[in-house]
Order: sequence, then structure tokens, then C-alpha cells
Amino acid sequence: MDSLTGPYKLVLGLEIHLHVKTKTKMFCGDDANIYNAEPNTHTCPVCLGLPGALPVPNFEAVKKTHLLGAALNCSLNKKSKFDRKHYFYPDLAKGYQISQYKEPLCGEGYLVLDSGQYAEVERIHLEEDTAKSFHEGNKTLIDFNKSGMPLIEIVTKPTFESIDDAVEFCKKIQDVIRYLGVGDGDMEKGQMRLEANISLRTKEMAEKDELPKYKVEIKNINSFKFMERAVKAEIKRQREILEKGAQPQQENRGFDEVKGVTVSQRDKEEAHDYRYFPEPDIPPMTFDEEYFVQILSQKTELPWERKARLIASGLSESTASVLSDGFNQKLYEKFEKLVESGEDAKKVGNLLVNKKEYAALSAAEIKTKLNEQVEVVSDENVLTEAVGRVLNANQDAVENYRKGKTNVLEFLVGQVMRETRGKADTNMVREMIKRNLT
Amino acid sequence: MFDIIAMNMSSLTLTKEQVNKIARLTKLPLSDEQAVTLSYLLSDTLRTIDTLKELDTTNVEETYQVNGLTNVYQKDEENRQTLPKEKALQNAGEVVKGLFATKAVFDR
Amino acid sequence: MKKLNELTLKEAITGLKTRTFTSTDLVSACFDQIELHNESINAYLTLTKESALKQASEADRMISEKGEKAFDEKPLLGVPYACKDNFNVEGVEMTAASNILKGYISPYESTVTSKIKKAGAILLGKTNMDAFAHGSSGETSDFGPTKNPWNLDKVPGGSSSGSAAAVASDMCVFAIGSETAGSIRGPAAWTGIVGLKPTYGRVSRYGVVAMASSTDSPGPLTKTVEDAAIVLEIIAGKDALDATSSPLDIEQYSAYAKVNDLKGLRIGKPASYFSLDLEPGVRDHAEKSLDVLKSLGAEIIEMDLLDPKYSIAVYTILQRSEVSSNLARFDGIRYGHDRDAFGTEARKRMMLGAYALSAGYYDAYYSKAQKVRTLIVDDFNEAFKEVDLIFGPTMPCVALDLGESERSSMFGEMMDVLAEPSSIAGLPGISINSGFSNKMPVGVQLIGPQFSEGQIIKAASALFNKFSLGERKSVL
Repeated sequence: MDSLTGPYKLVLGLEIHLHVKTKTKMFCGDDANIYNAEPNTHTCPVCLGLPGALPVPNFEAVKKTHLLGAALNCSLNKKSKFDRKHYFYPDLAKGYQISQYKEPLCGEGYLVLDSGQYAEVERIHLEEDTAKSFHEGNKTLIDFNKSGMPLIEIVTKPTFESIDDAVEFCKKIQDVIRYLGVGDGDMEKGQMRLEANISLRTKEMAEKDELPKYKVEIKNINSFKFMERAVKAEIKRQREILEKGAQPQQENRGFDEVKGVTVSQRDKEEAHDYRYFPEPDIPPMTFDEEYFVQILSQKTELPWERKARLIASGLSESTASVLSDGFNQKLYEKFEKLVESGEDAKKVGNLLVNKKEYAALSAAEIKTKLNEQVEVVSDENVLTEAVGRVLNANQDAVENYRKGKTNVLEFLVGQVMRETRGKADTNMVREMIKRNLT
Repeated sequence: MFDIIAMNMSSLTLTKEQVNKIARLTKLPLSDEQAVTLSYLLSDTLRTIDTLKELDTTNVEETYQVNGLTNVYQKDEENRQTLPKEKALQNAGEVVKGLFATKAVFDR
Repeated sequence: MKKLNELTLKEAITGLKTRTFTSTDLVSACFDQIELHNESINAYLTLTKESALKQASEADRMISEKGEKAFDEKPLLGVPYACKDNFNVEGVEMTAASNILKGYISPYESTVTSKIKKAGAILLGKTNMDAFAHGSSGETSDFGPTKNPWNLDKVPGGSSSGSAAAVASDMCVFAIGSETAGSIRGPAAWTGIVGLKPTYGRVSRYGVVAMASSTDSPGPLTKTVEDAAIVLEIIAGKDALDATSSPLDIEQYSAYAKVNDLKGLRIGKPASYFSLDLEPGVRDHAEKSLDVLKSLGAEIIEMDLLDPKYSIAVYTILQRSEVSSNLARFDGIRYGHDRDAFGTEARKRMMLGAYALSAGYYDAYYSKAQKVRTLIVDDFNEAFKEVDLIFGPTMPCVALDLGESERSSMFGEMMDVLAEPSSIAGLPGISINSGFSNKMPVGVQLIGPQFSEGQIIKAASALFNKFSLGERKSVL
């Protein structure tokens, strides 16, 4: 990192957009399961912005935003409302987006990174997504299925000092929303989109907690790899400017993936003037203590809490990581079922994570198989003996392996398995043979 | 009942440049002549509404929702108004392959 | 004897029930009148004659099959009405009298027209209006001004100009309009009919082209107060599609129209409304109306309200700000033509609104206006501790000549000065005819607290009946 930023320190903030998993859209009753649907088949007067149509908010989306807010230790605001944000673009049906400006659902919060550092959250608000537009020839074509999808925006403070921290934060958010059932965060489906605010400051400024006087925003980040490359390119650019004694301009920039550089997206005209004002079509929202208590009581175990618990129960760090990953919720559920049925956590964890043939089975099937199966020998002393015997008896194969014919490894593993009547842990055996032969 | 604040009649005119800026914001391009006319008309309106300065609104809350409702949310089926694709597209200026089409816009 | 198209709603329902005439007769009579006079008055923009006659014969079939019972489910069965062209009626063109929407076929139905349809009434056509409801004379329509049936050289008032003119000239039995601040009451006053602007949220706005979202209120324009009450019963109520619609129960408003005793009712006479520069004929009729109200048992209480000039300013800022936002959706992609098709009035309003909302000016204009709105609401709340209803003229003068509105960039706001305070506060108001000045109708209005439609209907109906203006006359 230091080599990249040179004498400067990175100041990075994120805006994360997430589709909320709801039955209907944010302000209308269209089916919100729009993925893979035929274009313009999930639309209605409201999300098409037809004259006379009116928005009615979706409580499920509000509640899920609160669940996420609670998980990120955010303050939950007792009063909240929607505002209109105005700009023109063909994918914006009404010429304004219903968003939240002055009174978001959730205020400040934080998430603890693995390093123990606090990643600070500024606010979380709820808004509607725009339609999907793409260019073909001299035309812009638009599919309004995505228009009006519920969208959570998490705004962090300029809290990250490294790209890795920012990526870790995003991945943790992905895990959290899957745990809570708030969303899927599939970046390929556009369910999670990132924007990064980047600036550099001197060590002295960092010590005084002083922020740079500018920030550059990179929009439309659709993968972590993209974010890493774009931020690195932008750091390089800003550093060069700063080293010349100048200051980078505050602006929006896009990342050119082919050239590997960021390019200015400065508007030809004056800066955006969104002309926010309270949405007159939607009465304000108020929330009482009782409701917030209910939200907090629904706060489930969070990914990092689960991981810590699994490690404490004897699982290896890597197995615990896999089982607490938000993408592997189904796998974890099997694990949980088997452990509840009396199986050993460590054993089940290893099986599910390391043996593909098990991961594909249902919990019940695994249970049956485990009962049938003789005990796996993973006692190192027993195995060392067996491995020793096999290697002695197969000197030719050993010679061949040492000459580079590594395919004899599996033959040797097979011999050990025979020696132990199929009870040996194959992974362990394989590792032991390799160790013995190098 | 209300403290009267001295009327301030200065700066209640819109320049042609300001009018052009607002025209861009509202996506209503104007000719030079229209901009001049509108600067007069709008300035006229601004002077009339300036009367609000007479009223003291310190510590007064804004009213944007007048009939006191709060917490109104969707009611399942009653809010389902999904249009068949043909109806959604029926008033479109141009349709290409089931998509709304317009001349290309790249400036974002 | 009255011609069928001249019947009030109440009379039409009775006649259909007793099978004195058929719905087809009634609908045809309206179309005959339209045929004769619409060209000169320009009240209707679109006619739905074919479907109307089809529905009429269907209504006649139902009445002959079920008799009076057919009206239990469909209280307006077979009655023809006109609807302002800013309501979506599925399958029918809707322009809001603007070129930008020319050719737009509504793919969905507004809640109001859906309720009326369910009640059995038959749409004759869509009526002219100030384009996007921006105006108080009817002259900002892109399809030519509507003329006042009492004098074709005069404006009928706006923005519900066509609906008012259609009722006044008996080209329908009743009509639907919408008011943001004066758009129902104003044209009702200038055409000598009844216009009821309900409490904000009493009638759903779903499917009505938004003008100023925080004040828009759909409502009836009718020949009698009782008719307005009958229509309100049909169109009022909570709508899941309009988050600002009220869940409060609706009342049997027509029952209030049958009370002719106003004993115990305290009616306020606000000094600031009467100290305006009122046309003498208007002032006379207003004063006389107060005497009549007194004779009906009401107590007239001298009181005051905030100077309506503040309401003009608040309304101008809020309405233009909301207009600038509400008209942003017209980009010519999903429907309509591109933004070049906007008329001057819409442009003016959008630009001022965008200015009032823009960075650096929001606090001085939009925010300030919303704060003063709070003062206006509080002012009314205080007043309604002392009085039950508030009385005033509807418009400061009688209908103006065509073309006169062009003299001021804020003509509408100035003309609607007596409607703006109550509109800003979301209050219900009703305008009725109190007589004539210079051969033109003079309207007076009653305003009440939110959701007091029953009370204003009671007082207005008693006053209306007392005026006994005899057979409604018309220049036609």
C-alpha cells in the first residue's frame, strides 16, 4: 500500500447500493422478482412514471433497511421521510428519484473489521432504483423492469485507509444482508453496486484528523476486482498531481478498464442541483420504541460472530470461514442440523467443507452415510506407520515420484487406504506422503 | 401577531444568465428573446412572493403534508397495477425489440 | 317542462328509476345539446359518444330487468357526466389540454372515474381546461379557450373551465373537476353552478395528472348542492393507491343537503376577505347572503384571518415548485411529445419552481413558504375554535372578458386569492351562485375545517334553496 500511495495516506469512503429482497417494488405493487424477466413486463403506471400515478411505500423494504441498520449498529431514527431528487436521464421515469435526503431511516453506525478497526457508517437510506438503459447504435433503449426496485444506500464516512479494508467491508455487507434476508447482493445481477470517494492526504493531516479539501468519486463499480483496479489507478493519478504540488479537482471519474486509467466525467454544464424537497405524495414515517425493540430482537447472529463461535468450537479458521460465508447459508444449515443431531462439529465441518461429495447431499443423507461409514482414521501415529510401510514396499513408485512422475502419488495413497482398510483420511495421507518424499 | 421584518426589495430580479441556468435545470431550452421575456415575468413573480419576508417564522416547522397522515404503506394486492407489456409500451415515442427507444444519451 | 339534459342529478336519477325516460333518451339529449353548443363554447375536447350510447342501452336493459333494485348497487346508473381531461380513463385520450400529451391514450383508470363507472354513470367526454390546470380563466388550454355560456365573450374561469361550462350549459348532468386552489370553486362561481372542493385527501388523486401534489383535490361541479353531495358520496374514500387519501369514514353527505335549519351554526365573516378590492356587485351579494344565512338561524361572527396576500405568496411558491417537479416526467420517451411542446404558462411555472428549490434559494423560498403554510394552518385552527364555518365571496369579481388574464403574470393567483388560504390548509369549500351582477353569475363560498364536508353542504344547501333562483336560466 505504502509503495502505491508514497508519502500520502489513502482516504476512502464508499456508497453501497443494494437491492432489497421484497415481494413488491418500492412504491408500487409490481412483482419485484425481475431478474431474467422479459423487458417491460414488470411495470405499472407508478414505475413507468405515467401522469397521475402515485407512489405508496413498501413497509417490507423499510423494515429490512432497519434490520440492516441494526446489524451495523446504526441509530434508528424515530422520524423519517422521503424526498424527491431531481435530474434528467432516460432511465429515470419521473424526472426525479424518490430518495431520502434530510431524514434517512438509519443514522451513524459502524462495523468492526478483522483488524479490529472500526469502519464508520454515515447513514443508511432507502430509495427507488432507475430503469435499465443501454446503447445500441444511435439509440438508447430502456427496460423499466428495474425502475422502482427498492434500493438501500449505505454511505460510509471516509473511513478506509486501504483498498483491502474497503473490500472487506463490502464483503461483510454482502454476508450480512444474506444472513438477514435483506438481499442477495449479487453484483453480476446488479443487486449490489459501489461508488468510491477517493482522496489522498499527508501523514501530518492524518495525525490531525484533517480531511483533504477534495474528493474524487468513481461511480458504477460492479465488482471488487474493478474497484481494486480503479482505486489503484486513481491513487496513482492523484499522487502524481500532489507530487507536482497541485491539488486534484473534485469531480466524478469513470474507470477505463482497457487503458487501466480513470477518466473525467465532468458535466458539461454546472454541477448537479438536485432540488430536493419532501415528497408530497408520501406522508412521513414514524417509528416507536416497541417497533425498534422488535427489530433489534430479530437481529440474528452476524457472520463474524458465527465464525468466531465456530472457531471456538474447534473448527479450523478456513472451515469456519467457509461455513460463515453469506453465500454458503445452505451449507451452514446442513452443518447446524447435523451438529444438532449429535454429530461432531469438527468432523461434520470438515466433511462439508472439504468433500464435495458430501456438500451436495442433504443433511439426512449425510447422516445416513455417516452411520454406515466406519470411523475415519486420522490418528497421525497410526497413519505414519501405514505410510512408512507402503513407501518401503513400493520403492519403484517412490523413485518415479522423485523423478517427477507425480501421478504415482494417487497410487501410493490407494495403497495406504488398502493398508488401513479404507479408514484413513485421504487428505491427511496425501499430505503425509508428499512430506515424506520431499 | 407577527413581527414585521423590513421589506427588502433588492435583488428581486433574475438575470438572463440565471434564467438560462434554470432553463437547463428544467430541460426547457430558451431562445435569447424568450430568456429576456421570462426574466421579466419571473422577476415580477419574485417581487410578489417577497411579501413572505414580513412574517417571522423562527421556530416554525414546515408543513408539507397537510392532513396529518403518517405511516401509510402498500396493501398487497390492492397495489398491484401491473400493465401488460403492450399497454406499457402503447404510448411510447419509439419501441425497439420491446424496449422504449430514444435518441442516444451518453452524458452521464 | 325541462329538457332532459337540463335535469339535475337528483331529477335524472328519479326519472330513470321511475322509468319516465330511458338512459338512452338522457344521453342522447346531452349529445344533442353538445352538438348544438360545443363548437361555440368549446367545453369538450373528446367525446365518447359510441361507448356512451352503448352503456346507456346496457343501463336501460338493467333497469328494465331489475327495476329500482338496479340502483342499489349502481346509484348513478345511466346518468351521463363529463370529466375534466386531467383524469385517466382507460382507453380514452387524455391531454390535460396540453399539446405535449396530444394523442396519449390512458392505459389505466383514475380512482375517481373508476368509482363513478362502478356506480353506473356514463362518460360523455373529456372537458377542456387550462393546460395542466395552470390557470384560472380556461384560456391556457392548447386547444382554445372555453367560453362562458352566459356570455361567449367572457371566460368561464378555470382551470376546470370545460366541466363548469358543460354543467352551466346543460351539456351534461354533472361534471368532475379538480382543484388545486380555486379550480373548482372559481369556474363554478363564474358560470353560476355549484362547485365542491373536498378536504385534501378526502377524494383519491390516483390517476389525476398532478398539478400541485400537496393541494390537488378532485371534486364535483353540479347544478345543485344536493347533487354535489350525491357525487361526493360516490367518489370519496380511502384509496390504497393514494397514500395521502384519508382513512376516515365517509358520511352520507346528501342527508346534510336536506337540512334547512341552521340554528346554532356559527359562521365567520373574515375582515381580511371583505376588505379586499371586491367588485361592488360581488360585495352586495356576499352581504345579502350573510343576511339569508342569518335568517336561516346561523349566527354571523365578525372575525379575521391572516391577510390572504401571504397565501398568494405561499401558494405561488409551493405550487410552482411542485409543478416543476411533477412536469419533469414529460420527456417524450414513454409517452407524449418532447419538452418543446410545453406552453408558456407551464414553462414559466416550472422555471420559477426550479428556482425556488435550487441550491442557495431553497430556504428563502420553498422552506419559508412551507413555514408560513404552518402559520396559515394554525390561523384556521384558531379561527375554528370560534366559528364552525367561514363565509366569503368565491371570486373578487364576476367573469372577465376573454384576453384580460394576459395582463398579469400572476393573474390566476390573484383571482384565486379567496380560495388559496383554504386550499393551502387542505380545507373543504363549496361555491354556490348567489345571484347576478352585470348579467353575470356571482359565487359565494363556505369553508369548513378538514373533513367537515357535511357541515358546508348543510349550510350551502340551505342557502341555495333559500335563494330560490327559480328555473336556472341560460343564454343558450
